[in-house]
Amino acid sequence: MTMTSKPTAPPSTLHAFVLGLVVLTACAGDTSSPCPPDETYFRERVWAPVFENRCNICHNPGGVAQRSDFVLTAPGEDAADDMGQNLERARRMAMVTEDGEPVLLRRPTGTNHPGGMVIAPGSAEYRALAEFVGRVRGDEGACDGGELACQAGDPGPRLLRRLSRTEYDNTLSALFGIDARYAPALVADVVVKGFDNNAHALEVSPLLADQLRQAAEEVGAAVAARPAMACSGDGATCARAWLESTGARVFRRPLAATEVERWLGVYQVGRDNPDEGVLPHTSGMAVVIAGVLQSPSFLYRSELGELGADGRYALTSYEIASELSYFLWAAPPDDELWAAAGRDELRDPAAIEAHARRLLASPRARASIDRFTAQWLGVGILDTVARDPMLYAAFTPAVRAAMGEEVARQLASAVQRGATLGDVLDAPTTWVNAELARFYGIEAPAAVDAAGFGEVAAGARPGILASGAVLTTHARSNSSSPIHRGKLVRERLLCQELPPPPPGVNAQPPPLDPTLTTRERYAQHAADPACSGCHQLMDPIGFAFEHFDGIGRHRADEGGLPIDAAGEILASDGSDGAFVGVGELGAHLATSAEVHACFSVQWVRWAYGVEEDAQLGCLVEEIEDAFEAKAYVIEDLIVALTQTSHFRFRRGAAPPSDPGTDPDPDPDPDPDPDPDPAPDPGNTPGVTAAVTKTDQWATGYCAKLVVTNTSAAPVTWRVTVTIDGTMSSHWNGQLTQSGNRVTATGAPYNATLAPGTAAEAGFCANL
Amino acid sequence: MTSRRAFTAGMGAALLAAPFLGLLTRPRRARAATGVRAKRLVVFFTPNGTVPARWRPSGSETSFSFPAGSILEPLAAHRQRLVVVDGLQFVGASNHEGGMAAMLTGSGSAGDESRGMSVDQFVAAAIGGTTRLRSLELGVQTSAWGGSVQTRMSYRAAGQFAPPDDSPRGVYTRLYGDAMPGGADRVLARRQSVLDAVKGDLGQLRGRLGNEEQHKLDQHLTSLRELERALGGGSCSGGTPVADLPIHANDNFPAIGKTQMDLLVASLACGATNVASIQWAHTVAPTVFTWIGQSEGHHALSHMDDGNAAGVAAFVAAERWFASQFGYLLDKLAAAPDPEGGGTLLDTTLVVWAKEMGDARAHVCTEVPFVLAGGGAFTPGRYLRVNGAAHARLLVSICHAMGLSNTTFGNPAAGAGPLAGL
Repeated sequence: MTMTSKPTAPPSTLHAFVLGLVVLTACAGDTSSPCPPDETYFRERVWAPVFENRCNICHNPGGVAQRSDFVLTAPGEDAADDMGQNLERARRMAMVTEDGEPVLLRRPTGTNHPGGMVIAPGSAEYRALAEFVGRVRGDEGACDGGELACQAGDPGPRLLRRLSRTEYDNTLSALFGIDARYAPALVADVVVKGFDNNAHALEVSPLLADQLRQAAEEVGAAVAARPAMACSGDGATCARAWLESTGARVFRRPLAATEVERWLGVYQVGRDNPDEGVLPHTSGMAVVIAGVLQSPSFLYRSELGELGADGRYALTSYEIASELSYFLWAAPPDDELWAAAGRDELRDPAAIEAHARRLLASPRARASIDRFTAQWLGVGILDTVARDPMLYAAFTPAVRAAMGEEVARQLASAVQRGATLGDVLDAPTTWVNAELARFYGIEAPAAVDAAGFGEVAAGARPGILASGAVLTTHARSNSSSPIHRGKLVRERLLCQELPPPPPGVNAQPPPLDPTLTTRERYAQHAADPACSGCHQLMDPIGFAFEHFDGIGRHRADEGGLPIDAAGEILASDGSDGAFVGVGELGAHLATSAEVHACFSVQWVRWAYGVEEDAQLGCLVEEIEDAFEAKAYVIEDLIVALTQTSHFRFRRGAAPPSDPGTDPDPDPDPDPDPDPDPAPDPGNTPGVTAAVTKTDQWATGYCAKLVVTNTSAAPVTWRVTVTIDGTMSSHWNGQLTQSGNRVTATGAPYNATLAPGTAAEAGFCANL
Repeated sequence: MTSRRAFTAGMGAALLAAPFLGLLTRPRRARAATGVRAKRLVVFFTPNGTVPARWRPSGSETSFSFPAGSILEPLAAHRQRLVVVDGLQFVGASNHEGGMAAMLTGSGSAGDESRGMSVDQFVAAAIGGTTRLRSLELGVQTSAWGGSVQTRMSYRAAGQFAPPDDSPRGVYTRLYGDAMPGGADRVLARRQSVLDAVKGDLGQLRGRLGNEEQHKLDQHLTSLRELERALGGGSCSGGTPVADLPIHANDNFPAIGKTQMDLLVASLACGATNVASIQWAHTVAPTVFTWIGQSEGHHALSHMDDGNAAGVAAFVAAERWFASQFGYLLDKLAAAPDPEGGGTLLDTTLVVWAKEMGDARAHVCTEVPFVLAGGGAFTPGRYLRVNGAAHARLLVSICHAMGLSNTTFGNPAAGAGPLAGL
């Protein structure tokens, strides 16, 4: 029996109503579950893997969450009794629901939880809690352990992945041989867990649509004006040839015949409407180019596949080519990949691996690896992060730039040398130019490459965590910051998300005090129980960095005061330990299985553009295992990502729904429960007309009139519809109103419709 | 970007059908306090909460003043135009991210009356159909950290941002267009043919999809429809070209903000839109106010506790600077004539200064400061102490001031109806 309680709205009285106030109505022992969890199950499958390290930190009698409904007791003298009580508390939280969801799953994933999201949906911890909840409630299948377990072989969902800003620039540059730099002017990409290429987060807002239009028109005009684009024969023939060749590279697959016709129609309009001084053919090509660059076939990377007999969707060779090239070069397929796709060779894992290694070996791989590094370690803001100019006058733009290159090379060179993650965390060398060497106070490199960089002994700064870029971006404007550096390690190397400081806690950073070291200034974090629960996860790690100031310079002491760089990792999943200084921290992390697993997760996010959900979580385990099997060589990890079932297949989704059953309300839902204005039978034969309201307000509305040619011959159309109110404006057609009827014909460019095509006019009306 | 709440039916399920029926069959208008309806809405956001004791005015509701050195003192000349609302709280939200997300949405989800939209977008959906641009979102260095709950305040739908344009040049181009006077109809013809073809591609692609990705293309289609309308409606004229400032440089913050405010006023004056917003940075912004001699970031200053007098004074100085920017905006609106005649833009524009937290040092969303001006819907020159009222009620009042008639905004658990006393 399930007890649910929904928060009820107080009857229009004004009092502070705390959302998430849940009445605990579950009764102890009142369950009909065939497999209720006992203490052994609870201790092994819930307490140890989840509660102990994630929840107990705050949810204990003296901790930040001591006044919540969920207080756990770490097993003490009477361990069995303590654990029994913890089980009981967890059972209650599993039984009580809020908005239909068990509170035990809802809170740690961030709903009405001051601690924020401490467990990611679909993660192993989430699955453990979900299985516990299922067993408490007696949900069907929970006792098998099967329903919620990882479904091996599930390749993940079909996706459309919008090009990120960087990928957009790289793609334009590759397609047209230009140096495209539209990215800074485009709407910033939504960032998820640090990465800007998340498939679900990237969408096309109205602002972005307009910005993409401007960029596309600019590129179209410039490219169409090139001498090589002139046409010696029939313009439409040249346009067709362009669509079938370059157009295919734009769409990253050959165009279907109907698509070619559609875009030839656009060419005609462009040719018939040139600007003053522009040749008709040039105008036509400019519009076609601008147009295809706004098409979803260009803007989204298709990972949809074709339905196979086994019920899975098999990605086409063209889709796999794009997967490879965008993953490894952040750019469209090169000629060699394109040719392989044309021969349909890329469905074979061996072929995929061969191309993957080829792409990784190229200098072009830096375009992707460098972005991974910048986003994984959070050093992308290095260019703009503000530093106190008086305190840190030595931190010049040249130094910033050099630091950015150094940290990028630390990972990129490791990939290309076949090095391991341990080699990166505990590296004996680093990369500097003369400027950066001077800044660090070390000898300039003996030999440098064309970019002025050379490899030198790491010396006092071994490993990527000791690079200037990391130390600077994780510091304050006027001092180092053990908290930021500790948080970086916790979140990006141990993959443990930390909650923000809870409300009500004074979060003032301790003022600069020349009589105290940074470590001493932050002493309160350890002393005060309201702080220590969370800060013990960060500060002890960050103290190991204290020999580096806020711009990454090494310091033997802090203004004459001795530095204690002893650090510690607590409450991790196998990475606990003590160390002194960043070098020992790096060496320690290099030995941790947890760190390697986390690194795999970061690469899965970057490669697949998804967060781990319940199914993709299995693929993550597959990758983690592959990484281990290959002795943690990073190049092999990257190649392993191209060898999963996800890379070649996707799971079949529900069949396309019609708009009436779309569970997600359209952001601009048709707000018209009344029937749409009925089309009048006075239409040209062979066409249908439909009016749909698109915007609605108290005194009026706007609507679109879609006219479709359903016959087998071209039709110059005329339709009549009945509407509410009086038209105030119209576009894309000639609309005249008489009484409540509107007669419409097309604009010059859409007056005649080819078979199967449609025209869309629009109008607004006042009620 | 999806949120769990976006897919759970809110408690106001019964209200889902109501607002649309109300708009269609009974287009009654809610009565604003003065009976006057504002024609335009502007939201002005500055980050990182406040120090309530240094913000609040002194005095009574109709006889109040801004104490010397307080945050609102730079607005002394505007005092009789303002409604200062003291004591609002965000029900069920706290901290930087929570506050930023709840500030304009009232923590609504798709099943609520406001459909998870922010108040500016909700109003724009209702009244934006008569203008070329449904709404205009302007930003000042909002996106160095990318798009996220921390850096976005406007929502077109539950979990779907309405991102601001951080580039004055970009805004200028959208307002004043680039079509040559003689060939405007040819440009339009070309653009429309492209839009039709792109929509054709979208429809074709959509037909191959399952549920999840259809949603993505539907959003894209909606964006194209708005673009279509914006392109078809002509453009404003007579704008002063804007300088090509590097828009990410910290020290250009004031110049960019001023230009964006000028463009915002211009967009209202030429009738391009009736709903606009300006977002200064974002919550947790590390902006260093070098132009008033500061060297610590704004977020760091927002955490100076009362024992650190110099630190608090620096934060107050930064907030006073923001207040003077708000004053600049009000001055510009008051100097521009209403395009429909009779009075100034400020007379017909409701301007709302919103922040995402109350006392920044405690990360709480109680005593969250709001300042209103203009529009004619609320009796001006008042200082309201609302003692913990839900800010969602203010959001309802704002909607009513704009002529809408919804009874809740955001999560209905926060209560229904407009803010008493406003």
